[in-house]
Amino acid sequence: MSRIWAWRAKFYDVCEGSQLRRGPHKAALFQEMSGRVLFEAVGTGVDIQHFPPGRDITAIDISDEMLRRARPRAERYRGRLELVRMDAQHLSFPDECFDTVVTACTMCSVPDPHRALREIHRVLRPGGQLLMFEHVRSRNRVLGLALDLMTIWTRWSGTEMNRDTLRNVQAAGFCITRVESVYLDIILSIRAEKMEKLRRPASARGKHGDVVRI
Amino acid sequence: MERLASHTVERNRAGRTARLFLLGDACFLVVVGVLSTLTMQLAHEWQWGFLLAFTGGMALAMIVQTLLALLVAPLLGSIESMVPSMLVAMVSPMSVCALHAIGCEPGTWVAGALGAAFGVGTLSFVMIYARASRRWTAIAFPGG
Repeated sequence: MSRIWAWRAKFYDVCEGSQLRRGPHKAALFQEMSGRVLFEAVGTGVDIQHFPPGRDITAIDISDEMLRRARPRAERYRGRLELVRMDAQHLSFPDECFDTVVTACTMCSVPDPHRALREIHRVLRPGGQLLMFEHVRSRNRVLGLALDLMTIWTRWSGTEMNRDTLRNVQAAGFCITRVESVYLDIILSIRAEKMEKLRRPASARGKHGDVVRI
Repeated sequence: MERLASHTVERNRAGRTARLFLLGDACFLVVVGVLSTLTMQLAHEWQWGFLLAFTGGMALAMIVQTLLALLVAPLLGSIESMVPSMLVAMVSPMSVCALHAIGCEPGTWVAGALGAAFGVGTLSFVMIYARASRRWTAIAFPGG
């Protein structure tokens, strides 16, 4: 997997670097980063220009080549930004250590999005927010078919165009608070929250005094 | 008052940018429509036989569309250019095939005009669907 991304790093800025159209939407989403932030799949760092200044961000990517290209951009960031090589499916951070997790076109690229979302859920503190800028399969049949066909040949380069990320986010235990359409119902700006753990009142508590999610 | 003025300036700027992208999308989809349809027309003119002209023409039209989409991706966005142009390059050349199948052979100009019309039609569909998508996200996730 990291070999594919090392190869794609060479063309990434040209093919995926279009910030003219998506840039303002990304900037608006990233503005909501707060506390300790984990940014997944930073790539060559094209999104760093949209980070609000003064944040405490740990940005990860699976590819050394991507991180090498991201470094000069990270150095220009006015805040704390640490680049770490890590697989989004196997985060080596302790539980509940981040206040915000941000993904940008990540869930299309990880081999197992369910696992990646479970890992995000683990490292995010209860009540923490998940900010996602993702492309998903369209609900429209014709556009959905076009995305399915595109996936046949984008899959070899590590990108799936037809994932149902909204459903996956909910299945991972997040509560989606807000979704904005960036391009049709394909590119979405998603805000979700890891639900707080609350103690049940004594009368409603199970025999082991378990905690439940609301 | 100052905040209202800056909000208005920001909105005007966003509106201007949106109009520029709309113009870019329109030009791009018309070019894809015309070139992919002319590719299919050319495949029929080479007298390969209907089935070969159809399959070969479709493959060539898709190659033309992919190359054009990759070319404009840095400006218009990769998905924003690839997805609607794929629809144009699938449907528009098929219309030329359909005309050939019923014995009505369109000339180059007619094929080009058909391609342009499909480009404009797809742009209209994208605009309508964009509005529907915004409405859907607002209803399904009221926080937006």
